[in-house]
Amino acid sequence: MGNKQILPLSDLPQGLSGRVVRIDGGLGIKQRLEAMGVLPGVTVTKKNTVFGHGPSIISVAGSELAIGYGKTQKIWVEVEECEDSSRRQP
Amino acid sequence: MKILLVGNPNVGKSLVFSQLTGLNVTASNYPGTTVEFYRGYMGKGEDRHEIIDVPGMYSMEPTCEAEQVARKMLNYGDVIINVLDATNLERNLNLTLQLAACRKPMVVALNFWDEAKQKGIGINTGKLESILGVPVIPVSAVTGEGLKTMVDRLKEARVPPFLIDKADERWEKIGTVIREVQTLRHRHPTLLEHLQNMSFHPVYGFLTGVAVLLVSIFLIIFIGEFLIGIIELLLTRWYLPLIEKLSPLLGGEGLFHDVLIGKLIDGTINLEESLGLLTTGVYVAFGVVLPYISIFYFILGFWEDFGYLPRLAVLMDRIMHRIGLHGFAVVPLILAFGCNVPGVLALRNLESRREKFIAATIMAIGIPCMAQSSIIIGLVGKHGLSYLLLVFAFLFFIWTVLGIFGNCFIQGHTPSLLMEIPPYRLPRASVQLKKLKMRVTAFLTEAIPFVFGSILLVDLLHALGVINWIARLIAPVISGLWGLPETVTSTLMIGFLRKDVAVALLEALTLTPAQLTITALILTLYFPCAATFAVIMRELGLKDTLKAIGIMLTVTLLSGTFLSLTLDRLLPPQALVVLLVAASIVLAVLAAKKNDPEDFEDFPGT
Repeated sequence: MGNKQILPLSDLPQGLSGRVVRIDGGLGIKQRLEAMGVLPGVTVTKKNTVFGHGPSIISVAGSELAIGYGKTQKIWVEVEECEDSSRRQP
Repeated sequence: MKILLVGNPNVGKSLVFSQLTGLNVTASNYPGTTVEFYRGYMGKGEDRHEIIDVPGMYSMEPTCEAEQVARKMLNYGDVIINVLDATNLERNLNLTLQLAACRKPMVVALNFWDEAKQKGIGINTGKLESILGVPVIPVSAVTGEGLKTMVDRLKEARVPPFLIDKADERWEKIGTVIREVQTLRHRHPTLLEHLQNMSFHPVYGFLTGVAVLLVSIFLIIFIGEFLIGIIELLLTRWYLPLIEKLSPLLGGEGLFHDVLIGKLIDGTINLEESLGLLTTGVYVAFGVVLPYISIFYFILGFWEDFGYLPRLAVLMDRIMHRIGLHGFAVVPLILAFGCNVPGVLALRNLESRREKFIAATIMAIGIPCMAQSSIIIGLVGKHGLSYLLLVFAFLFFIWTVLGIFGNCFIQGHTPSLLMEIPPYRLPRASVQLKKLKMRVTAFLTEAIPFVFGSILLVDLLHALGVINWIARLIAPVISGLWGLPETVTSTLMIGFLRKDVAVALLEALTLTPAQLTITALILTLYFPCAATFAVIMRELGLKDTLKAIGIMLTVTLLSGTFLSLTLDRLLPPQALVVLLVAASIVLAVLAAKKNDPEDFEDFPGT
């Protein structure tokens, strides 16, 4: 897959991974996310979303995090190729 | 020597703490904050050392009050035991590398070592030790394995020989360390991991949530009532005779007697209804609140350690945000249904003053405790299900309105969620009991004095005639606005002390179904019982408590008037139920449109 897509974490389909490229917002949000291991260059995997713009469950640095919708809109990821294509959603 | 236990939240730090310390453990608040920490001792004689369980922190840059406190506490220790979760080494090392900046001797404990092995995670501790330059000891706090070695090796504690300032360099370093020391072996997911993946499923997730709540509530009522029965028996057997001897000594009547013992009911002292400090006061504190609190904390502790509570908070987050709260606020609110006192105490875990205020107001105004609910169900239910449903539909409406108004008008913002979701773990009974003991002791020492103080105050006001004066003052409201007979007034006054008794006393009055419904509802809304009031004062402070009371009186006035004008005059109860539920839903949807995800993330302390 040549053209790498960049989208907010909120739009990343469930089951896919992405490499964080940018985090919008102030120092506060960046520090909080960094403390939990979410910072540019890191790969995150979206495991689940609570429906209706609920929080997303992602796995990063060996742990699982729940991130509210507001924050997931500010985390931009570059979609990575998925090893298991059957998990990909349209 | 002062030893600090430092680590991320959910790494089993408090478990290590309780294994190391004996019985002499005290919980205290860090001065000027509501952040609680534990202090204890280990060893004997020369080797007796103080251990402090520092609140969990993810980073040295504080992002919440607890982390701010943790950061400050780091200055006071001589040695740091950095507790890590071996199943999650990568994220945990972030703090370890930052702790080097403290320039304090340190050892690293890799907790959940056995679990890591089961999960196929191998860590080369020797290599890690040489990289970090401090002793690294695998431990399992649950079984106690490795803890002795850890204590023995405390004397080898070293100041880590490196300093990394920049975040990205630090994570890069962590990456290299992980590649060098950690090996992963693939294996099949366990049953708990399957359950874990199911917990956010749109269907099963919500079903699990409902099931967990129902089972918990059922257990709490069942065991709570059982405990209350036992304590009641003990009190009547051993305590009542003492009071009966004391009563004539105090003269059998007069101010002093009224405050301490209360009024005689049918010529005898009644622990539940005499309303004195030593009768009803003792009964409320130890016969009602204590049993409920114990069983509540036990069940709460179980779900907490199992790892379900964070998941419930995530599931509820979306809904709770509409009323200006975090998903986590669901826990105190549920607690409040048993007894408002532990509910209010649990507000401490909420992040902002604003959230605490909204949740405390909803609780104090709109959440009847278990004792009160059951009597309302019995009494109002006699007149038909529709009246009973009306009481709860009205409360539901009040929660929605209070939450939405609070969210719109109280300054500040509830930032969107960011939290770690720990894996499911089966809790150990011994650990659970120890935790329960700590919490109940903390409750007895912190809350009970306030409860007695406020009961004493109400008793004094009663004996001095102030409460009767208030009763005369509000009589026009009761008969004029609410259309209730004046006999209700005295019942409302009793509600200051015991809301359930007050509701029960309504049975003796002749009220129409509509009047009974209105009175039961007003009794729920108008003022928290003395015990709840005392803890609210403590948690919110005077200014916010007065604000909450203002809102409370307004809500009561409006609700009573609205119902007396409509119920059975304009509309039957069924129609009102439908109307109230529909109005709540419409309001919630409208509110959601108004303030959707905007984020103000900055923590005021940074």
